Amino acid sequence: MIRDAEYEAREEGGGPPGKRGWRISAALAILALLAFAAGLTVGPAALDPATILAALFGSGGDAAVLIVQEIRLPRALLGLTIGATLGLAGAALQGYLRNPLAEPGLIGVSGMAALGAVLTLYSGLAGLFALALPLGGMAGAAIAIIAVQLLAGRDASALTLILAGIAVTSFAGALTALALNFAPSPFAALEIVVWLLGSLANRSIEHVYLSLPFMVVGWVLLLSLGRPLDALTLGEDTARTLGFPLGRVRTRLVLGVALSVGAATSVAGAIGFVGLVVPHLVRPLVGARPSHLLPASALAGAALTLAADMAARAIPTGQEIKLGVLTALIGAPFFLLLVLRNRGRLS
Amino acid sequence: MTGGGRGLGGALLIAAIWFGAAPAAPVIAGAPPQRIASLHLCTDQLTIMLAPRDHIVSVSYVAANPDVSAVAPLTKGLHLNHGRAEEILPLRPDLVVTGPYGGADRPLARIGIPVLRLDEARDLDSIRRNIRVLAARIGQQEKGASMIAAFDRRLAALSNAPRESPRADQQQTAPTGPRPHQRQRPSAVILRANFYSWGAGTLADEALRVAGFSNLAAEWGLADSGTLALESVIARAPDALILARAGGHASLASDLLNHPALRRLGAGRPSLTLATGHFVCGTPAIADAIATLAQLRRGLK
Repeated sequence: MIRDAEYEAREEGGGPPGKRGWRISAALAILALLAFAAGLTVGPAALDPATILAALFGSGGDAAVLIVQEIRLPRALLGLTIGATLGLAGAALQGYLRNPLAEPGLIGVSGMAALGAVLTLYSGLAGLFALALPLGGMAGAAIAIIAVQLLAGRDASALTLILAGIAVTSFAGALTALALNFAPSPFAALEIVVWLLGSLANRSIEHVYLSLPFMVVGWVLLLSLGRPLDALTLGEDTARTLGFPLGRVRTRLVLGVALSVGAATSVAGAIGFVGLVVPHLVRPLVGARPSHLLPASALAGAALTLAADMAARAIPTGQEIKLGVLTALIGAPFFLLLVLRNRGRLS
Repeated sequence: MTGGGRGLGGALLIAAIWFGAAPAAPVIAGAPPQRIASLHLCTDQLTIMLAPRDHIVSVSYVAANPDVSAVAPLTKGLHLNHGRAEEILPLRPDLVVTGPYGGADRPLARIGIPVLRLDEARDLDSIRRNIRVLAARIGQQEKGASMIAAFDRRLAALSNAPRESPRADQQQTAPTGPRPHQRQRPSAVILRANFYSWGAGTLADEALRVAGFSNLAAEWGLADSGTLALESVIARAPDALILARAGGHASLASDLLNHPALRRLGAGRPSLTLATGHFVCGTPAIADAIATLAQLRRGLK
């Protein structure tokens, strides 16, 4: 059983959040807001910050208002909220599973959520009933969590869990490709790239409306896991004797991840590695205690995703680079590093 | 590629006549083809328009799709092929018509079946040329000529409609509401799924020009087909917005045409939704699209 979090928690000390912790979180919040503002300035149409600010509130030329309100704002909002979701879900999963490699992408949640969304979109269901899209994503995400836990077994080692996640992701990817090949639209087969890599290109405010309510509920559920996860770092039995209802903790985790990641993936595709990288980046700053780590990971995840999305738009390629390519470029080497560092402790 | 294709087709034609035609088809020397198979959407449509129905043995399955084919209802009862040589062979065609790309015709040509390759039509002149070439090959020269004449008459009627008024008029009358930019032609942009557009050297570009518009995509230097950034389209504020849809099936690409920004853009200016199929193949049916575009243009006064 991995003892990474426990070991680090004992190192850091288990006292109440120090001033340093709050200051770091505040700094991360400012970073996220700055990234959000910067995200509003990136785009093919050259708009200066003053114009953008005015356009946000509906004044200024028609074109600027349209561009800022309907194209840039939704994109920045999605970058912020989806990034927060992925960072938060990654930290929660790593805390609960006591596995430094856990994150929604690697354990198959994003992949199955994408499959659920694909099934509802290309069948025409999402056209009849708009909520079908996020619901499909959430259903897929929930199935993934259940499937991985069934595959990995009760007291799975960290390695077994990741292997189960890889199995679920591969299967989900194959089924997604199959679904797209059978979809009636001639464009469907080519869109596999968007679903498997993730992209925020051309997203609209309607996508924000569809996903945000579910993401917010997911955040509330996941953030409430702070104290139970703190207790869990001392071991399951200790946590139980301290009075934490582990069954309900697990339900909140499953629901929180399924709702937030499911909804996020349904509008942006499966964006990987943010949930993996962010908790590790933030841990040296705020300590390993989940109750500090969760909100900080959400903020850092938002900042990281917004930055990656800006890079995706700024890099001059013919077709815009998919967001998932950039997160994978950062995340995959990071993943390798983690595997190397944890080699002894994983199995 | 196109010149070579035609040369190759011509050579094969001569070879086929020289060495004898299709294995089991009864050939009367000098008679026009009586078993025509078409492998490509564009040649399907021209073949159905020109050839007597009982001379057509097969068209491609795409021709039956009303989202892209102007002759979809006329394909009822025809054998639909997927462009594969082994489907065509049992039908014993004595002429195979296809577009510039694709390889199914090569095995057929190797065993002696005559193949006619028609170039992809990129302007109205090549539409006329393709009609003439196909009509001549299948012995329907008169029908081809009358089709071209009708096409030309229709285009002439469209260009006789009142066009942009000279500069002097625009300076005299007081402006009432939005009017086109002070230049030769109002600008229009055609957006397809995934925000693709047609630039210079395409049928859509030609159609816009004939209808009296300037193609925004071509102005931006786009050649052939390519994506446009939505922000750039909005910033440029085209005088007219045209959406080209290809059927009603859902996908991320086609959903982009429902983007709220496009809806707001379209609400504020003359706009139009057409079927993509109008601009995919060069047939006389493009006159319908040009007529609709010309009407939009007239509304811009």
